[in-house]
Amino acid sequence: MNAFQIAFTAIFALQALVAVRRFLGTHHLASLVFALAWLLAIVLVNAPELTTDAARLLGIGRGVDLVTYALLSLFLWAHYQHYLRYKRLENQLTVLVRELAILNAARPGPAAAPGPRGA
Amino acid sequence: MRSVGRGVAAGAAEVDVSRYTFPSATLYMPAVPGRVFIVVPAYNEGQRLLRVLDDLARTPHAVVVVDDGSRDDTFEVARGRGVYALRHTINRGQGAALQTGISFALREGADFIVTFDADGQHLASELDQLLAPVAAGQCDVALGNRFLSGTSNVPPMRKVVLHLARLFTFLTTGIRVGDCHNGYRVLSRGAASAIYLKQDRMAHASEIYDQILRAKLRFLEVPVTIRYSDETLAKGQRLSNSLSVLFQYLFGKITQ
Repeated sequence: MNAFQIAFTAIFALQALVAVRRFLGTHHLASLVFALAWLLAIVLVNAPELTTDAARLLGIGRGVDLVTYALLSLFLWAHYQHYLRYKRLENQLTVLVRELAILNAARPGPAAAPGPRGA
Repeated sequence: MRSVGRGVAAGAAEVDVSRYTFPSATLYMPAVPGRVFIVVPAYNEGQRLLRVLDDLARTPHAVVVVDDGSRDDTFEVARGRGVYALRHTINRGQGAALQTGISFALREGADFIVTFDADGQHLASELDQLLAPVAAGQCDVALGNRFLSGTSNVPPMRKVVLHLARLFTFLTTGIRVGDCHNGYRVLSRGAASAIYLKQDRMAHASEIYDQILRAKLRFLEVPVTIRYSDETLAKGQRLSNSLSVLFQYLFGKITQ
């Protein structure tokens, strides 16, 4: 075991522990998925030949490349999902602002003196 | 054909014009069968809005100003002029403000909805020309066209941008429009109900063509004057802006 493996195994193990604790507390499935992902990371760091074997199987030269591609796709997908959610939130915010504006519409009356903001 | 001319009884003569106190004002009293609401989206337009409202006060129609979260006195100006004044608590963009005004006008029972820019580019005196074909049921939407009139002093650079926008509109929707992103429009109640702008910012002007097409609305282009001045050009759309509008539009299309 080299220094890199020792350090990263420690970090990932800690992360996995935190995720497991969170899962036990909240029973959120996402925490369990994260815990499993950290455990997988520990395995891959300590047995790099596993990713190399998988890469060969797919016709990619090195295991590190496979991991890079996988992470890149995952990141792009996650980013796009966030973008969609952001757009949805923006539209919802607009609807909210719109309803507020309509509810509080000032109606034409005798030319009113300019009041303070928000009056 | 949608419900053009609903509520014929509510004629223009019903509107109380006594609250308009402009001595030199000419009063345009068109025979429009129904209630007309003029929607004016405004963002930091304070002083320019004042003149626009004076101009619009010569028409007998209801005016709805939607203040899009301005930092200046836009909202107070509108309130002081005795028009419907709505305020977005947070700035949401021109498209959002337009839709707010349209939704409000529909709930107030509008038969015809006019969209009118707050920066003084449009002339209230030309409203009747735009209203006429919609009121007569010839079309559901009347779109202002600045190139048909020959009275608009369109700067050359602006011309290039507008013609590119026309081409883009044709390529994406197949609609052949003579002008693009002209904020002067008249919608019948049916048309306004069929349209819902989701592009909060500037891309709504392209989006509206998509929706006209999807809802199978009949539209006509009517010559209008656009007054260009240093003042109106200061805040208008620029070439550098159009790319960002293009991206807004395309991304909006993908994500809807």
